[in-house]
Amino acid sequence: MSTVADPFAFLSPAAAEGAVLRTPMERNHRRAGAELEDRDGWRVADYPSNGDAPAWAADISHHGKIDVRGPHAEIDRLSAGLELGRASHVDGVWTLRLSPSHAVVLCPFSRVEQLRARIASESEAICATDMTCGWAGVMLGGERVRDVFMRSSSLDVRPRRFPAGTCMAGSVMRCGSIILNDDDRFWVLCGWEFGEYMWESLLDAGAMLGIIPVSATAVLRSEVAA
Amino acid sequence: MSFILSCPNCGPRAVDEYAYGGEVTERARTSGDERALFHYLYFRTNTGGDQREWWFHSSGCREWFQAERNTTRNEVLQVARPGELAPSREPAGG
Amino acid sequence: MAERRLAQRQGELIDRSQEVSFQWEGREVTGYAGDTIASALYAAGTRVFSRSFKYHRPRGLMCCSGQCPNCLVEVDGQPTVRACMTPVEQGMDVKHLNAWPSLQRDFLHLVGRLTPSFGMQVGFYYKTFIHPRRAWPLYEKILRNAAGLGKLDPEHRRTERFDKVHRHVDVLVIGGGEAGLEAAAEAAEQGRHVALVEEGLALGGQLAWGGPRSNGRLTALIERVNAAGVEILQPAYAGGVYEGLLVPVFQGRTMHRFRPAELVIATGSIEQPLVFGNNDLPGVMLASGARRLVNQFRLMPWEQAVVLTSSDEGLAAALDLADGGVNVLAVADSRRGADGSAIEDAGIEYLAGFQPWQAKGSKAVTGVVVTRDGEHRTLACDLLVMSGGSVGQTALVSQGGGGIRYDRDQRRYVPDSLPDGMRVVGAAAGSAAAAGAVPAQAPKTGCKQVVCFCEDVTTKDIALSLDEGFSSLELSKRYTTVTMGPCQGRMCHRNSGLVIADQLGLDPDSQRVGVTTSRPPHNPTSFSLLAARGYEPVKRTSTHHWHAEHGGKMLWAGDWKRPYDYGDGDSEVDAVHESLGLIDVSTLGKLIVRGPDAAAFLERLYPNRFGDMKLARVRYGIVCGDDGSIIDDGTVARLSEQEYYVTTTSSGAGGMEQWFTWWNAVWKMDCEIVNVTSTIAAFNLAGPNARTALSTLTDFDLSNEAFPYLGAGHAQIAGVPCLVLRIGFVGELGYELHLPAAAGEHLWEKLMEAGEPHAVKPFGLEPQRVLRLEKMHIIVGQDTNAESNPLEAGMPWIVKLDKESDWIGRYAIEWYKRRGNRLTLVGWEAQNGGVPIEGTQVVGADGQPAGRITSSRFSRRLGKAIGIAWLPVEQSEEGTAIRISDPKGSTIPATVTHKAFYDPDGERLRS
Repeated sequence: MSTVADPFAFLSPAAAEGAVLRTPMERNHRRAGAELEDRDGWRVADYPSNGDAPAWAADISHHGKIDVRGPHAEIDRLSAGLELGRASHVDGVWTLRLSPSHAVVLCPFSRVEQLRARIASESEAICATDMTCGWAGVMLGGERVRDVFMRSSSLDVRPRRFPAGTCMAGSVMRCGSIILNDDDRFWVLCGWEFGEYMWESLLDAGAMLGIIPVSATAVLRSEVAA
Repeated sequence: MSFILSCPNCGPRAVDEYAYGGEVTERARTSGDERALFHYLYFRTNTGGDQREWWFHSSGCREWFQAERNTTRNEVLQVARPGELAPSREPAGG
Repeated sequence: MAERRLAQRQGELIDRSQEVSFQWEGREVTGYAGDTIASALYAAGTRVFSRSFKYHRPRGLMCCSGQCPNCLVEVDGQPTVRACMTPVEQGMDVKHLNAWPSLQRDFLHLVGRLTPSFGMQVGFYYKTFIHPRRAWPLYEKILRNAAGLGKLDPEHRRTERFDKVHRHVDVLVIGGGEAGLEAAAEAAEQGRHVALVEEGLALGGQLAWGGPRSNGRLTALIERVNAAGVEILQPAYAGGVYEGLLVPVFQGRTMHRFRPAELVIATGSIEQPLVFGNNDLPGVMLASGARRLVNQFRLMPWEQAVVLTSSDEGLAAALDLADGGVNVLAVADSRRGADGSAIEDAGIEYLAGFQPWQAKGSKAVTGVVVTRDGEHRTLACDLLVMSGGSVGQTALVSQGGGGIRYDRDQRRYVPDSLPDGMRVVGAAAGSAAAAGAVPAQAPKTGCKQVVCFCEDVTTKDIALSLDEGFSSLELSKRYTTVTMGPCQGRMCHRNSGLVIADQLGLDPDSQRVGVTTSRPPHNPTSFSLLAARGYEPVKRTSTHHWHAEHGGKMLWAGDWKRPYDYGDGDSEVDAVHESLGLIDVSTLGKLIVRGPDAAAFLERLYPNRFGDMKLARVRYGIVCGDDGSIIDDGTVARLSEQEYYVTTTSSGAGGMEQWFTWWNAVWKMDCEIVNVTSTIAAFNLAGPNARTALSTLTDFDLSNEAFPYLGAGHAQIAGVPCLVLRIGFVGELGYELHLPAAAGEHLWEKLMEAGEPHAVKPFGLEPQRVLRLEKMHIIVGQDTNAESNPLEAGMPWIVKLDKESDWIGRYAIEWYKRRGNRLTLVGWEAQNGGVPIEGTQVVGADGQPAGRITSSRFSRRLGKAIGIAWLPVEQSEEGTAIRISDPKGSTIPATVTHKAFYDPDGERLRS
């Protein structure tokens, strides 16, 4: 696939100029009293809390996401031989290997357009699609993160089955989702259309455990460092 | 129904993560032989025994795979990527 | 109450330093912390706890371990609570379940006694209450109120939250008795992740209630289990075992959904009642029940006790009770030749070979008549202890797919085959010690010999069912309802098997007697626990809240929420025809098909020709199944040599992704299919002013020359990158914009702003339906069904039978072509102002059904009802007069038309 005149460039919110970009949870954040601040065109929630709670959740839907498909050998090469169910973190970019021919790449939004183009240019056989607003994202963390997750999904996330650096595609809150263990913080990605439902359901699941919403900027490493 | 089915990509999951795709069949390639066409379209072997079938991991990796499952005991004997099932250990219908 | 408790002793569950008060039948009762409702009430003098299901016989404590139904009560508005398993809590409100007007004086018991021959013998409802038929609703009301164990109060509200947790462990042990504790400790010591579930209020099972001798061993075991790191859930019970070793465990207000790698059943054994006359009188108890009251709750209110047994277990029980201070008058052992010397040494009369005949007393036991070889002896007692041997607690084994069988040597049912991953240990697995010869039933008496305590089934009922031809346990069960009550056979499976075998003259392990299966839930379980936190996924588009905030009536459309209209659907239709309308079609399925084989792949999948499409064009396509039926429709745009953009119906999105990927899994062609339904929002701006309004937001040349109908182009609109498709489902000049969902609300607002000078209106699903119908555009699934092929659906032009490649549906459609059309999909216009109802029949010339209305709406623009229908070919010519049936009995005259009702030549579309 040529990177010149990419007919699917229109999928990327990064190609928008001066447009307001919103996550599916915006009304939830407003109702909870969060401020909305602009980050690279996105309206991102700024919550007052600093995340010191048994469990917390952050809306990370604005993070860049790329769907990568191709022959096994190409995906092997691109992911440096990443095994199924493993995820690697290099230079602020996560690569998740979900099947021999399918990987998902997560990167800061400001880099997604360039990164997608670079991946696509590696080989004609590789199909790289910007899915930044294909998946909504919630990051879960805190001491009781697994307790919240066990109230949301029957996937086995016990520490020795789902240690840091592992990923899975499976059902969370009855929706097909992708999960990643990022140092015992869980990324939960679901279809953009389920974003609001997923946010509300995860907060409800954690309600009895004391879960609080927090700002993405407080927990996304790429943005904390920035 | 709550049995465990293993996806070749994702490993063992509860069966409600999948969509069932029916028996593996041989596609009829002519309208000339009416009987063969109708048989392909409307009849299934419906084995009481080891059956080869399609499954789609709809809540997970969203890829297709095949399974060999004993339909009387509801026991999954093997799963594999499409076309890669090992030969049956018993003659069909056993 | 402090009276009548024995001296404090190790193994007791009560905390004498803490009193707890609660209400029973409206009066206050005081017990100790650690008491169960049953033990506290018993200590306060309560002997009748409930009335039986059918005959309303008074019932008292029998098993004291949650197996029998006798102590079921209502607690704080919740019915069917086992009083013997529920710890007392301050302020509880406890009431009886099913007596009227009171437990002591139950009117319904009198009814049964006054009409002995009419009676309520088994199956009475098949033989009585038949005439007069119109009185049946009254009979039903009476019967439903008379029978049953508790009422659900529809107004009762629970405000507490219930929880549901998914659990994975290496080993799940059900049962915290000796065998379970050992199995758990052993597994955990090997480094495995172990959880143990115990139903009772104390760990240890028999070690806990068996008396002081076993306490030391129990303490050591508990220390070992804790040291090994076993997770203990207690009190908690396993509700059942489902396929794949799914075990729901209920603890308080939480359901733990366990998936262990290995399941260990250590549920122990259950002591069984004996079958004799009036064996259900209050005061008749299982030995283990009496021992629990003495050892765990330190109660000993009885003057004199008699023990009935048929095994050594009963002899040991008698000695334990005597040790505990019970005045045991005699032990009647149905065996002859057993060793009763220990009993006699304890100063208790030992009656060898005597079996119970009948218990005496009306609301409480006052004595028992035992018999041997025709000799009768009456023994006075206010506690009659039954030790009828025990059976393994194998309900979970059966529910998990294992089998049970009657073992002759052990004289009990034992697990037979086990599913993978399940292991049974301890008494549940069987016992080497012979259970002794348990007589099936006592010789006949005039009074009831109860076999099934839950459902009030007597030996006479079973005899009657066998007489009427229900000649096995499974058949008799369905007729008499034996083993169908809350205990699911725990108290009655063995005895009913023995009674049936005895009456048929067979051995209990005969296949003709058979076994039956207990059903989950294992114990009464509240619906709140099963429902817990229920989540219903909702799909919302990026403009969902805009619609809701602007008057959109949001309804379910599949699993999406979509606006039906915005309050005035008619004006929305008008706006699209006259000026400008905007609709959110983000729910459409969207697939990218790209690769060297993309064109070839689409050629194989569609009856259309797509391989020769020019770039930057979009076409309407239908997808057929291999049987030639239409399964979906949508558009296909060619964006480059090897890249196509496919849209599908909203409800077909998931199915089409599966269809596409499945065929590619079979063909393994060199192309990728990417589902971008979620990523892309889509809006349709339609109306004569669409071009004018849109031009203000973009530099893209929207003129008809530069961008004609069926064009596909890329444009930046209000700063948002879009794919623009010029298609026209709603029949006016229109542009369908596809854009990243994150910018959806932004672009929608800009479009509404730009449309303001043209009085733009958002329009919903219902106005869209009217508009598309005016153009006679079909909706797959509404106007088509599983048998509709494109030839008969009026789309022969879509099917390219001359394509070289094989394609899905080709052979079936060739066959249809040879056969010729039998039906046709056509339009119709009603002639007299009537509006036909969708789904009604078309009436043929001969008065027979001759077709069906698939779509129907009143078009204000045309001033008449219009729609689509299937008609037989011979009645489908342009202009044919048809009659459409109407549920009121008349018919509506209509005329067939093949041309769109509005702008049939599509001039407005192509302007």
